[in-house]
Amino acid sequence: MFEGKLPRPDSAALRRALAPGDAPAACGRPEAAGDAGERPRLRELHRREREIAARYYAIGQTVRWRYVAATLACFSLWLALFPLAILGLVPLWLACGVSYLIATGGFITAHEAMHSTIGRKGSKGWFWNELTGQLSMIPLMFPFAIVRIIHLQHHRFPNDPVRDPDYPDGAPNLRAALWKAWLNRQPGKTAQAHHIKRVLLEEIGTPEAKAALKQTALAQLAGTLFFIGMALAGYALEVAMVWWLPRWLALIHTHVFFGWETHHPQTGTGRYDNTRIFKSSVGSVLSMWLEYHLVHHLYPNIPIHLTKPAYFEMKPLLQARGVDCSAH
Amino acid sequence: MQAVLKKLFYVMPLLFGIGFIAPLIAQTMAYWDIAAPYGMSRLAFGLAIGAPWGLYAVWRGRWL
Repeated sequence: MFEGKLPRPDSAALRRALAPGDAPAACGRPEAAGDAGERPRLRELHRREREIAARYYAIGQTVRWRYVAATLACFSLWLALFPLAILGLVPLWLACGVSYLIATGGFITAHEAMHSTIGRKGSKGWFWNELTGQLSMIPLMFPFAIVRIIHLQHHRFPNDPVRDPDYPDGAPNLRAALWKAWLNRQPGKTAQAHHIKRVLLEEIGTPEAKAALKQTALAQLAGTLFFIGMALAGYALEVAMVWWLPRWLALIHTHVFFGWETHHPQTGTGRYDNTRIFKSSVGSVLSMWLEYHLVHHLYPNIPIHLTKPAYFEMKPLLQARGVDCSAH
Repeated sequence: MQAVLKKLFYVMPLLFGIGFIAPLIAQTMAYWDIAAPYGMSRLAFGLAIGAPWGLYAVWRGRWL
């Protein structure tokens, strides 16, 4: 399925993988920020940072099949929950809990695919990358195409009120973030969809972005018609507990603990302050290791589960730059 | 096509209230063996809640 070889340090894929985030000129090369006397020291810190990142990127390439395997297993289980719940073989509360975890975890596997860490375009792994992304997003009822475009735009302009599609996740505290996550998913004027639509059409404006928007409308329509069809067929309770409610919970979870908490308080737009190292309100496992989000924004192609060990190796370098590493 | 979809999405909360919430209420009542008040059927009771709730969501732009 995969090549299994570690990428050569001089390969184009590795160079691209270790580019400074997916950041625009505003974030720029990290050493450019310092004054002339500081630049050599910052350049050296950056070089050492990249060495660590290269190592973890290479490790990630040897274990990327795990994301594919997890996706195939979880998606199969998620599908099986429908007949199992309908036949009464699984209690509805259990089906709801399992589906919620699959939908939430699905964002993480899809997230790997968004950054093409499972396989780059043109490589043998590309098919599996796209399959992982598509299947992972079905429980959340979003096409992979739009989520990828939105997420890469977020990486380019984190915390930018106009250009960051995730900006409306912002809130002063956890309680407000939970409320906002619900409010942002409402059908009217408060919907985050309006902000995302504007970003897609006006800020990105590519044919892919427009096509992704149409796909999203059709996917949401198809999903809603599926709910209604199942309900009219007498399975309202089952579809509510296997898909509708877990999807809602997972959307709130991902927006609060993956979107809001990682970038709170949304003040920085620079390479080292647009996100942070923090202790999640739901712990490491339920936050899916996003507590080391700074490492992810610095080197998006290190798989999420490796950002923790990568962070601990990078920690002295980050501290030397003045990054707040007190949480871990 | 786009205009039709736009209108459909505008009234979607009402359709969702009638098509999903109403049967969901009726089937939940049946699951817990709860009878509808005033001699109504469970589905009629579900519709009595789901339809106005969906209409409220169309009008206010939010479900609560």
